[in-house]
Amino acid sequence: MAAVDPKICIDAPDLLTAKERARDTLMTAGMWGAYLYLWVPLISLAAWLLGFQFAYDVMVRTGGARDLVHVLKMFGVSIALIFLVVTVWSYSNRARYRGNNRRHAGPAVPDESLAEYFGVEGCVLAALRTMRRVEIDFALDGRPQFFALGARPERAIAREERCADADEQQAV
Amino acid sequence: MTLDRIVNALFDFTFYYPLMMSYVWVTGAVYYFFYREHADHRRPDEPLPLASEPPVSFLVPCHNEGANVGETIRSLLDQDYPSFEVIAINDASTDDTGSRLDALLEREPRLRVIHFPRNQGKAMGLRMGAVAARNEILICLDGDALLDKYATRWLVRHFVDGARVGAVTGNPRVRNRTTLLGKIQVGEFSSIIGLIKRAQRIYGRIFTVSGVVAAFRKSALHDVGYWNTDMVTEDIDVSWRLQLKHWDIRYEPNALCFILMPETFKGLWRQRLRWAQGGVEVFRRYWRQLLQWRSRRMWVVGLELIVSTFWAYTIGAVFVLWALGLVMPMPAPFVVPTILPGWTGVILGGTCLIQFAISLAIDSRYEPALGRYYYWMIWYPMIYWMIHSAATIVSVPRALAKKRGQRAVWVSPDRGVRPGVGA
Repeated sequence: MAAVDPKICIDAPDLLTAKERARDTLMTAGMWGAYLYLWVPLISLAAWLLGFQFAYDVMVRTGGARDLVHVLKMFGVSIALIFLVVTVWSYSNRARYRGNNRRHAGPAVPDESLAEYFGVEGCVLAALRTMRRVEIDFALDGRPQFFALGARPERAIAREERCADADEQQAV
Repeated sequence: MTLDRIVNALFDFTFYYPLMMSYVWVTGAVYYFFYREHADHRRPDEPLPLASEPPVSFLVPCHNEGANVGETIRSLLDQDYPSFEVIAINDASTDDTGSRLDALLEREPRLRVIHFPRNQGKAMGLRMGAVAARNEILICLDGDALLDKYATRWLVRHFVDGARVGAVTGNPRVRNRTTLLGKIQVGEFSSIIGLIKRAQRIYGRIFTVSGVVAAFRKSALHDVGYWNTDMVTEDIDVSWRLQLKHWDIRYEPNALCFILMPETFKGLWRQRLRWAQGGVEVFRRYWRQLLQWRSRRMWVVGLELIVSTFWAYTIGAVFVLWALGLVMPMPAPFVVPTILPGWTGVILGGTCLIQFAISLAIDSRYEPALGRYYYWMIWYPMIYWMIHSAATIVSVPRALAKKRGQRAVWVSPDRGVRPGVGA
């Protein structure tokens, strides 16, 4: 069963013109052709096996076969080394760090630290946590200035009012 | 002659580096697949029950997402998770994003909305979202992405299991596949991004979380100072700072997220330029910390960035020398007779095809019909290596010339070809 719901993906060929679709398909076919060009030495090898003169020139006279052996040796060794290094590194990482938690779960960030870090008053932070619609602008120094609003702008509660209420409650 | 040897070594490096990296990624990804994915037969829609289900806050920064944000919010409200809130941050959108979000507020009690009257950038949106969030776990999602119904469980699992986990990145899947560029990127996200994330996870540190879908522990973010507002890629920046402070970042391939990618060359180029510049910016800012012995687990990631940046310049130089050689005689050490390197070309072509096949085989666990994109993936070397190297060449001077503190603000990206979508 598909993990991805196909309806989520947008594959709408009808949004493209027939010309655009043909262009994309042909260009990609051309790219595959270019790829085959990369494989000319391999095709030459196959042709050599079939006895063609051109292939003989490429593989024998100009040293193509010698180059192939050299490249295969070099790549073989390199790929084996990469495999070895990545695998050993992965195993050692796993052995070293798996289940080794030196860090303990810390407490959540205290509101005081958060308010201090962002340069806001505690009452504003409390308002931010409760109000469902908030407008925030920023002073020239980048400090946020909050304008707490209600669910609708006409029910706006000014920041000063919110903090004054909090100050009053604190005083009581 | 010494010059000859240096030039030859550079030519060899130009051709062998992408090949070697392919095998590094393939080896790492195959190891990851057998170690973590193959043994676990659960599908993405079958997450294990969690030991605890801490409440989470979704942060959705949006800029001109009127056509998408309704769908995005609905995908979050539809999560198979007991306790969460959704905070949308409307960053001075000039379209109807703000009014759509306000309309959704009336209907959705778990939604809260923050409006910025002036464009502040994604990082500032996330910072203010973190201030407003009531919960310790923050899941950040772009305003045009759709989160799979079970993704939250897969992401949260890591925070419940590991105290040192500071962030978890999900598995972005490309939604728009109508055009050639869309189809190529479907393949690219499997053959490159998925493969690299798996390999990096195996060798210890990852280069970056995917900014489009990533979950964070708020105390870890507080520890490193949240998202920086002056980095062009806030996701790469925060990933490096978390890992330099020894917070672990995990990759969770089951946490699927469906994203819209550019479907024009201009859009793709702008995106890749931003990504390339972001990498150079973080290296420029943190290289001193990176060199410290206590940061040694990040060395592989840093080395990969430096070598790939160097490679971009060497491949650029090879093309320039080859082109010059077509129109004028070149000194012997600088002659590039052909850019198609004989047997190395055979191996290059073969390696790419093997890499495509392996990546599609691994990712077909999440998208069974993925094999049909094999035909289109033939463009991958062109798209990845060529555009990547061109973008790197352009972005390095830009990153080096950029002044610290210069705010990165939103630029509306290209969303690709799609039928109209309403909230």
